[in-house]
Amino acid sequence: MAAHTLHTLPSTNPSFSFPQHAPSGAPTQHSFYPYTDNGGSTLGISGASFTVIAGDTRLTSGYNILTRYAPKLFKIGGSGPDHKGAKIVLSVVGFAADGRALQERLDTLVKLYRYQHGKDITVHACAQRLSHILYNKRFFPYYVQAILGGVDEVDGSGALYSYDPVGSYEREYCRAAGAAASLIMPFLDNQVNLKNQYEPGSVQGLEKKQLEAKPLDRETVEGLVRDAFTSAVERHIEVGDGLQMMVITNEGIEEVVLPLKRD
Amino acid sequence: MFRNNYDNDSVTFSPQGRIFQVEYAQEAVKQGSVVVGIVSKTHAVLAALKRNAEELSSYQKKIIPIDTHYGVALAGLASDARVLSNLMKQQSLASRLTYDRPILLSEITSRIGDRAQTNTQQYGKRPYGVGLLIAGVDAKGPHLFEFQPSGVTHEMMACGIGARSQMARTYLERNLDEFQGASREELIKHALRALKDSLSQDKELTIDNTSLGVGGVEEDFQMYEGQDIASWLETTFENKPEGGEAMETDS
Amino acid sequence: MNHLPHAWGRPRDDVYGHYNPSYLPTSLGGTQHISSMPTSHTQSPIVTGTSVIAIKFKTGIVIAADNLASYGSLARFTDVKRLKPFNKKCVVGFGGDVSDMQYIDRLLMSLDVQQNYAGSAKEMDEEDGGSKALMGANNLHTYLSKVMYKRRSDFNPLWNALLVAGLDEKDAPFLASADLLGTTYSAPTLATGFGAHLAQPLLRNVVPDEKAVEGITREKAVETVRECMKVLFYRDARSMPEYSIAVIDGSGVELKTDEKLENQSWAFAETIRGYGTQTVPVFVEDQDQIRTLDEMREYLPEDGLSAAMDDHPFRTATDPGEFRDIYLAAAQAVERMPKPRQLEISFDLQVDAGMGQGEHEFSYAQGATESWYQESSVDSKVGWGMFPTVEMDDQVPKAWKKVGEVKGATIELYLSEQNEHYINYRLIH
Repeated sequence: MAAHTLHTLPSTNPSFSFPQHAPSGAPTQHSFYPYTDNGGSTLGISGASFTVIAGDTRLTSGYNILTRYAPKLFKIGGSGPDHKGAKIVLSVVGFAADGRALQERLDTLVKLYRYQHGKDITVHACAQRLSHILYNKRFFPYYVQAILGGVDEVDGSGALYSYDPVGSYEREYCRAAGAAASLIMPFLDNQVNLKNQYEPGSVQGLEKKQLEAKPLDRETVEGLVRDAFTSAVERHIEVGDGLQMMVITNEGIEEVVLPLKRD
Repeated sequence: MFRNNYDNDSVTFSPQGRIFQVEYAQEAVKQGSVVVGIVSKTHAVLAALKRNAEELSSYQKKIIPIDTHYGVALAGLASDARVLSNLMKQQSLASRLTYDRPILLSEITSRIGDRAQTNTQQYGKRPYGVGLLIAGVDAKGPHLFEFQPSGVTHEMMACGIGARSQMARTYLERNLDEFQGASREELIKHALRALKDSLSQDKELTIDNTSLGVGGVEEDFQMYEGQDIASWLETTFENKPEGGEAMETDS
Repeated sequence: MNHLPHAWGRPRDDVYGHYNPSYLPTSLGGTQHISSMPTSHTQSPIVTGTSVIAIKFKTGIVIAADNLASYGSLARFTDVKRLKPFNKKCVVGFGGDVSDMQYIDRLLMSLDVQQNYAGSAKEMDEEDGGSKALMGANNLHTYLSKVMYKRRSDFNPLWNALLVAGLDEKDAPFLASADLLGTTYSAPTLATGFGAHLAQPLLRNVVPDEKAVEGITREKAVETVRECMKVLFYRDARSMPEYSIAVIDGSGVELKTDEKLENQSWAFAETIRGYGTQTVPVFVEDQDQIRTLDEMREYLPEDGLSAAMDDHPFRTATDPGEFRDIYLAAAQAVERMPKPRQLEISFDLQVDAGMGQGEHEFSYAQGATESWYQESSVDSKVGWGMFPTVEMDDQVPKAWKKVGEVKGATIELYLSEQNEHYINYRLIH
């Protein structure tokens, strides 16, 4: 609180997921580095008939909070600027400007797809398209971790895809990304994929029967998301302010914004 | 074969000051089936008659929604219209991306107008063989623009282009005073009646051969076809006391 | 695969041998001379402007920036207008490189021409739809952010931080930022540069969230911004007291470019002794641990106050014993307060400036009671000299409630309503 107590704080620098300066063996020169880390965290969980994607709304630069409300979740496709009728959600975390550019590109392509084909793009086609967009820029990547969510048109199940910055992607049941990914992902592993959970009474010597993961219902998933973020906020300075959550079902997208701690 | 020596390309004037290729292109518009557009203070409506090449074929596409705030109706070469509408779609998306706003109808119209004009001034180019009605709502309110192969564009209160469109225009001219204050429903009916007037005696407007496009203030441009327009066709024509053919304006 | 992204895309040394640096310039271990090197772009800004600050109010926006363009630490140009109006609805505030600002200003001019070319100015005025068809601040911001992002992607950045303020297409207040990386964000209050550290907390105190914007009048917004400009001038070495301020609302843009800071008080500067935290004669830190009188007593220097006072160039006006009495009385008053409590105690010492031998010159008091401090969001007390001092009259900031009075000792106790963490003691002469 008082400044004269500040020196008692540990003198470690904050850790960022990206280097703050251009990696270079040369003597440091004041030169332009085109990336920054804007903090924040996202996660997605898919269920039997829905997908939930969530992200905090804080935007940071170092120790500064640039704004308390900068959405990381974007509807993709649908009609017009409000994305009416959209059924795909993209979340991006990392370098916000790249995230925005990626979102706009994917949205434009999905809208053109509808114009040219007269029907909406499927989630898995959109997922592959996103991969291509990222991969095409692999030598100057979009510095973002993306998560794409929707509902599988074939069997009606929740569809969730996660990406690295250069386009590797995978369909998963849950994924956390961004600043607090290392805090949230183990929690999801345990609670969604039931990692390290064993059938009670099944332990006999070295024999242990792993609990089998089943799709969770919507209330449970939303509860997990809230818990994951309220916990992340406590431990990571770049996470906080608001929790934006989108639930994608066959009926469309429901969006809620809940408050998180602003400290 | 040739009408004269001055129509081999679109860059040569005739001694009378005409460019025949452009005029031929305008003839192509007259070959296309009729489309009608009207604006009121609050709405813009497009109505189009679709033809099918033969009994077994599908009907052509006459109205193309471009962006959420506007669409176009075409008369003439459909393939040329597709090129133009793709261009318009791209320009519309670009406006949303760079300025975060829907493109002004006057602006998109002059863009394609300029593009069409270059075809009339460069050797080896061919004018677009299509006329367009561009209708919708932008920041300045509802609008209807007419585009011609020559690159000429006009803002209109009501307009009809395509085969036998003179009859539609006659209807529109006679009822011009009513359009400004017309409601959405009234405007649609006026468009359908104007369209109907252009049909030859033995033809009727049906749910198969009619397309409607409606845009309004605070209302996205929406295309209606098939069963969606059945009730409009019924209330506009069938319920008329005298067998549906007579219109109060025919007197 | 190597897990270090830095190694990705580089040839493996064990397969291809060491990296051949010959194409690199000599400075990087290569053999190329600079003249044969690839094009290089701006690597750093040259002539720069400092902070821009802006705040939303109920019906519009206030934005301000000073008129200085610095060349490093040299105050090079002192009459540079860093707020650029655009079409009756928007103002762009520029921080960072001034030549890049001038380039963007030219872009804005051609954009304005392009926007007005289609419809004549006459049409704009006459038609009701005219002003609605004007570019809103949101449109302008989107455009500028695209320009910034394109240039950063070309590795040729425009070295600026921009604030775009104005009314959007629906005539609602709009405020957003774009910077040299193309990062964009919007908030009810924004500040670039040093302002992000110094002014933003003060602005956020006034407008904590979008909901609070409704309660802010134009006058309050202007006053807040002017106060922030003053703080920025106090503490930002690359700033100056002449500044521009613009208010944008339904009636248009009102831009003043020759404002001067008013009511500056540099009295605090006299008390500054070197940099960093100063020695305070008596202070109690670590709010959580102090609970009892005895514990507090431990914080008093062994031999009363004299030892502590010796460190300080000033002398107490009262003798140490008297001061100690007062201190203890204050501590007792604190005792009576309900728990839990967080304390931070600062004494308003009346000090003898040491000038008059025979007479006591009670000229200044420690500035903790000054409203400037109380309104600021600085949540740490850094001792002597960091805050402006005020003359010792009986003014007490209105927001402070008097919660108790200790008769025997001449001391009054005030509790800030806004922030109950602070208790302030005030010596009554």
